[in-house]
Amino acid sequence: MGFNQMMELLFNGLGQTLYMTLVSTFFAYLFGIPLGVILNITSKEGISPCKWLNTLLGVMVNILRSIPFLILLVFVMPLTKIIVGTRIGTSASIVPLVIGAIPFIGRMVESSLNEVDKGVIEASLAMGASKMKIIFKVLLSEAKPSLLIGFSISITTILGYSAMAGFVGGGGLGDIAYQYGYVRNETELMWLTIILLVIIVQIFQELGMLLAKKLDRRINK
Amino acid sequence: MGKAIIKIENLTKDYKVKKEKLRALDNINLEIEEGEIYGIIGLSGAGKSTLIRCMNFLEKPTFGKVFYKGIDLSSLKNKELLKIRQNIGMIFQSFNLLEQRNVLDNVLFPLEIAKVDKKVALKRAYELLEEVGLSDKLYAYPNQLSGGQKQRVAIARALMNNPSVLLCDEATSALDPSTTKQILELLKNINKKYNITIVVITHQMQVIESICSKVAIIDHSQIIEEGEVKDIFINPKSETSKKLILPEIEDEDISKDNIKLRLIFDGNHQEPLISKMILQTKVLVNIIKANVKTLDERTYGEMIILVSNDEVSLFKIENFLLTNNVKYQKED
Repeated sequence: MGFNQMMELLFNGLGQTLYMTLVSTFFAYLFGIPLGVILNITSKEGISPCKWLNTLLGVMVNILRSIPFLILLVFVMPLTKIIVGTRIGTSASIVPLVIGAIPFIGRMVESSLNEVDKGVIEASLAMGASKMKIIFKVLLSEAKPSLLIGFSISITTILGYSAMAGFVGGGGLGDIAYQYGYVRNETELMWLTIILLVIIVQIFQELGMLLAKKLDRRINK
Repeated sequence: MGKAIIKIENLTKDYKVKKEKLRALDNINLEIEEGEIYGIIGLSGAGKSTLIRCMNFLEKPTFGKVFYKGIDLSSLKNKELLKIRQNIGMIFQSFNLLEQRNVLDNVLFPLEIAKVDKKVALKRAYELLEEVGLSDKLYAYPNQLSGGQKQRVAIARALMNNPSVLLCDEATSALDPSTTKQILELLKNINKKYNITIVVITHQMQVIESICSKVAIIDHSQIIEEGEVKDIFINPKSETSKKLILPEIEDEDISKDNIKLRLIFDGNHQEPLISKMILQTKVLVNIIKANVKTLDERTYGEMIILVSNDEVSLFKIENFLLTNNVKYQKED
């Protein structure tokens, strides 16, 4: 394979990986934040304790999290067909990625919100704040730094999952590593994709942490 | 006498802890009048924190009623209750400021909840921050403030809605003595200036003494004494009250040769009484504890002395105390 050809291959793979990761992260958060909020507020110490709902969601989250991603990938194919119209390809791999990431993100958000000082919530209740106000103006905004750290962990985890999507024709860097590196035994290409993946993970992780630190008013003296 | 702004009737609060019922408050009756500073004192675990939370329904009573300005809080719909809460400010031992917001935004928060116009809110925030002496810290974050400063922000925040009542839950317990003094002074001023009724929960007698006009003593979920601070102070009836008023006194090992006398000063004595007593009776006296305070510019307090347990000495001392109108009790 020529150099230009290789570069083009990697460039396309990088594009697909970023596309899968970013779109999946977006949708996973779209569902994951409300899930995390509900898990937090319905817990025993939450602002709207509701045991059955908390238990039900908790069990669902745990079940979904215990399914290996590779199995989930195949398992949700019928659903993928309904939503995207096809079972294979980059866009199709977004569905299992989102489904796999929602419970993970839900737990991350829940644990970030659990860190918010109970006294501050009590003070807000004493001021006459409604539950909605407490969710948006107290829970989510006080937990911002922790949510951002959770975000950088989530996005790198999704990136890792997306590499697996290559196995079902999802494309991306993971696919290249598998197709060329493993099947055709082109080790250089495999190493290149791994290095690229490492760099991307590094960038997401550091950026997230930096942002979290910068926005945290408790550290910024 | 003014009218009751907060009235508590037969309030009982139970908690369920591991399927066992725990009675936090047992048949409490209280009336807090408009404009007064009302203290509720008790040892930790007595139920005072639960009691103050019942006043704004952060905790709902198991039995009994809480009235705010004659309104039965249990009769209100959630929205109406939220409106009432905006009328009752509250401050806490741990300040409970939003850590991701600066001082100004913290103080503005209650008016964001009440949906007050931002311009009006800002004007009020500047005024109150000036009042509590933090005009130069508008853009500082809670993390950058001292405990006293944080409590000042919390006080300004609690006053934003022009409340009629300010509930203080151990508001000075996390502060050092001199900061405590300043915060108490501030609360006293606020009470006078805005005629806000203040309810203070504390375990420190010093807080009650320095700002409260009335006090209730709570012990084991019940109110055991209630009344004017000076009456309770002069003549505490129960063991717990004595322990709270004179916390340092512990039963020391006193030999049988001595007898312990508790002298009570009720504000009528000015001359150096003890010196006089020793000079006149020529009996040696050991002062083991003295606690004298000035309330309303009169001196109150008590002293515990040890006198040799022989009839002659005791007779001389008792005689002196009686002729000088000093109340006393023999303690065991």
